[in-house]
Amino acid sequence: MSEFAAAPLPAHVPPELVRPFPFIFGTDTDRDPYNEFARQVHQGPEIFYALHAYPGGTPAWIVRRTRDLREIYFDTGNFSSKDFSPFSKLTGDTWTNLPVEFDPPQHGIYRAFVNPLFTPKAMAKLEDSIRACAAEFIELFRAGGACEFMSQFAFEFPIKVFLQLMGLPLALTSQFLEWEMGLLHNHDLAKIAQATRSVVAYLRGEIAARRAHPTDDIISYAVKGEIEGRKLTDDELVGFTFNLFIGGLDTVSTNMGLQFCHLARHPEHQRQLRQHPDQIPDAIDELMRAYAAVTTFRTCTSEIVFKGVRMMPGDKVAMSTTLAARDPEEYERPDEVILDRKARHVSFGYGPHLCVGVHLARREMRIAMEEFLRRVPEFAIRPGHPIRYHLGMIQPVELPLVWKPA
Amino acid sequence: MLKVHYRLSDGSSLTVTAVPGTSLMQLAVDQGVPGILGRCGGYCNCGTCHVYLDPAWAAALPAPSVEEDTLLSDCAAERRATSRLGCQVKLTQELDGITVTVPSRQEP
Repeated sequence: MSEFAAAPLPAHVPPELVRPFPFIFGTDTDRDPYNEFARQVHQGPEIFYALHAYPGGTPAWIVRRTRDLREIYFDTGNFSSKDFSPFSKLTGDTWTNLPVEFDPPQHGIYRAFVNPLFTPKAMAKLEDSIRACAAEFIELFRAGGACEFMSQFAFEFPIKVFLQLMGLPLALTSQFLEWEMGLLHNHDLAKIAQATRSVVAYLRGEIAARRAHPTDDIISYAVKGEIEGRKLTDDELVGFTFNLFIGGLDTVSTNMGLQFCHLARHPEHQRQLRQHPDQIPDAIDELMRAYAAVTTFRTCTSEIVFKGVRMMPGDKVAMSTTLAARDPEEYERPDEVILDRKARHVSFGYGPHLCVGVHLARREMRIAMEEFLRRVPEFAIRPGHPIRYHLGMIQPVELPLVWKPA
Repeated sequence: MLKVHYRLSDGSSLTVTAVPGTSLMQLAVDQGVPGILGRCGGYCNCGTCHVYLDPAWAAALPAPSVEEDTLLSDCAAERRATSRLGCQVKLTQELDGITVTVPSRQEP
């Protein structure tokens, strides 16, 4: 018997606002998270309370209007990012992911420190190496006429790019993937703690190595750099490097998986982008809009009434970009992918915490699409294979693609 | 109310009316002026609201902060003396009639 069913509803939560949240972290579905689940949620109240929304099965307010997500992203005074990530707590450690788990004004100080590493121009320097990396993966399976896109491309490609960027050995790709799976594709707290310890131990080793022999790489930048006239503490160095680790790997993999799933199902879009590869950047934006995958959380810090709903300090708020993606008040025909829609979206978040890796991620996704469409003929999902999705962050479990072999 | 002229990269021009207090970025986004993205919504983070001010106006504004200055050197389009991040330029009545040029790209 679920203990949650027996727990009394907090006094400030109206029973009529209690509804299920379909994206239950840690589960899989073969239903369509976007065209079915999101669409259903948009037929209900604008804000509601879900008993099992937060990882671990605890409640959260669910916000589905794009404009409401934007407002909450901006309102850091009432909606805090503190403690939304469990990793250091699980290992009894004291570091905090930075900048993601900080609020202004401290957030701005850390973010200004990180921003120069990920600017448009800085990421433009990686164009050739990212392209070479994508080509290498694709050539391994191109001639054979088939691939499992997630395991043969989507998971490892962003890891290789990340390792190159960080100046870490490419030979660590499978180790990083194992750690990533342990941290982010796992619901056994002991296993998550173990993965956290391993990653932190590795990062501490790299930090120490660069203290001894600084270079020009990103970890050295953090070791040599200063914030408010002082060097970063050990905890800050771990928080900085760990944030990069969890930020840009799984998220890129998931978006690529969803994008290629769409292309596999829509040969007319493949044809359009093969003929007009200059349209790929706008297509990436529309696909990121339509298939927004990430849900983060905020914690309410004051007693406030938000859009008529009373929230109390400690209440969690789910920032479901998946729901915001399909908001019919924000987007005309939200379930339709219009490659040149050029609409603004919140799939990278918004406000002070806008994904710092936006320029890197968009570059990786664009190059992946350019190289795949250039090298691989028209592809489809292997017939008879239903696509299952992980929920929490929406991710295709497997994406078997087939095309005419060379 | 004040007027702002956006010169687009295709040579055309858009004039929009603004209420004082909004930024060059927010005004562009609200009015659908193409070529100014403002992905972060105005927090001097993303470098995608880069504009070139007409020189006459550039001198009239307070200098960029250290954070803005750092990002301006790394936007997708080349930095000029008149470069500013649109989100950091708050419109006041004194800026009535300001002209800004939208660069050809915000993302490389």
